[in-house]
Amino acid sequence: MDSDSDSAHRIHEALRRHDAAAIVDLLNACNPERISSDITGNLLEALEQQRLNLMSNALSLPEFLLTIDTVNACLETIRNLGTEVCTKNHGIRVVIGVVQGDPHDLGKNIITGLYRAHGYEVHDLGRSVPKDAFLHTLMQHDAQILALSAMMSTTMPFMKEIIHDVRVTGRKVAVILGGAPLDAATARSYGADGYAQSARSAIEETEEAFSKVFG
Amino acid sequence: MGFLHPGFSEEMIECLKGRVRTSMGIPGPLAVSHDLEGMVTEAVDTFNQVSRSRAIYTTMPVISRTSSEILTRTGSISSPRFARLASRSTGDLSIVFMVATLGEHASSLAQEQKTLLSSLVYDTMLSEAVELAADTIEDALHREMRMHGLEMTSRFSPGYCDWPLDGQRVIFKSVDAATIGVELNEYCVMVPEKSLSCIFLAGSTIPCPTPCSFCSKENCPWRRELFSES
Repeated sequence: MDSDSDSAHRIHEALRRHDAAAIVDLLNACNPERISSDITGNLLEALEQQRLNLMSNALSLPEFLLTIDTVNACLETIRNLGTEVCTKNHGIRVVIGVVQGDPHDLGKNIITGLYRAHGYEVHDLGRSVPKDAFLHTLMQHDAQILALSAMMSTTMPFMKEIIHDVRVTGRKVAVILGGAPLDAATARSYGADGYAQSARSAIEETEEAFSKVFG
Repeated sequence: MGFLHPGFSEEMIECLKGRVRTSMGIPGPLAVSHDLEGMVTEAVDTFNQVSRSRAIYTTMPVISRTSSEILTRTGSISSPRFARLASRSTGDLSIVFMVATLGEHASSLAQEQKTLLSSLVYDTMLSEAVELAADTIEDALHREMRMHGLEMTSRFSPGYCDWPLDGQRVIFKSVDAATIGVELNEYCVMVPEKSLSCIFLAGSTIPCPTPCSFCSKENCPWRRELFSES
């Protein structure tokens, strides 16, 4: 394997080209001990660079989604090599889903992919999820983050009920909301810790909400 | 009650490809290294093989109107802005209620995708397809109204402007959408997802096609006309 800076450069370039195969070749040629820290670090650095490009409109959403798909394919390869994926989000568990009655899950799926690419452990409950299922899964996995999505004004109020039920348990959970009919003020009024406006800023907003709750 | 089967002609399929390309930013200033254009073509071709687009509509006279709602036999349309449009219209007014769908199979195509990018391509394509089908039906209804010497608004849907989403109920009470395979769940969400419900106002004269001209909300993403009066 080449030097650290060389491998970092090659990973950045391969990710820019969405060339998962080239990254897998790098992984296979690499000392397993380096995969978990160095290579994963390079991969996430490259992903972060692409996210910043998206935020500055230097990258399109389709291109960014390709990047997320590529990173997740690579992380899957790393796991299949029997190596633990170590990131700063390692061990942070997220429960995510679209609230009851709402079948619109594209936004939720994008955020799920984004969380996974950033090393979160994600438990995706899917769409039209009954409110009790959120609480049950939070407790089952001792999750620290609850991410709720709603795309309709008629299903949005379920978020408030779910947050209330979570707070009643006294568990420490950072709740983040997303969806077309919402805004930051509504999310706050529902008792959430954060509001993810889009894929561009969801990671920062989630980290902020997490810090608010866990310090 | 009328039924329509707005099949996708070759011309519509090309139009759909164009709309999806525009929506996905192709061609655009941001380079996309993947064969996105190829994905769009493949998605539209797949859709074309499984699409069973259908629509149902019916017309009902307006019984009365106030400053905030329009009353028909099946219920009221609670939109002050649309009611204002009705108050500026003349003649015997009627409401056309319509539901259109791409069918269950087509609607599920986006769910079947394995990557985020292909999910986005299919979801965008299906959203554009249902709008294109609705455009075709709207054109046909406009022609029919003109033949009777009537004018008609553009389509207006619950959940947009000032008409709450529970306005779906009056539409589904007016047309038997189950006959074209569309149902409303208890949260007023249509199943299958890629369906569209709307109303039109018809009369001797209609002052403008949408209530946008009565609305000064500058940055509304759904604005279709300029604000023209206070």
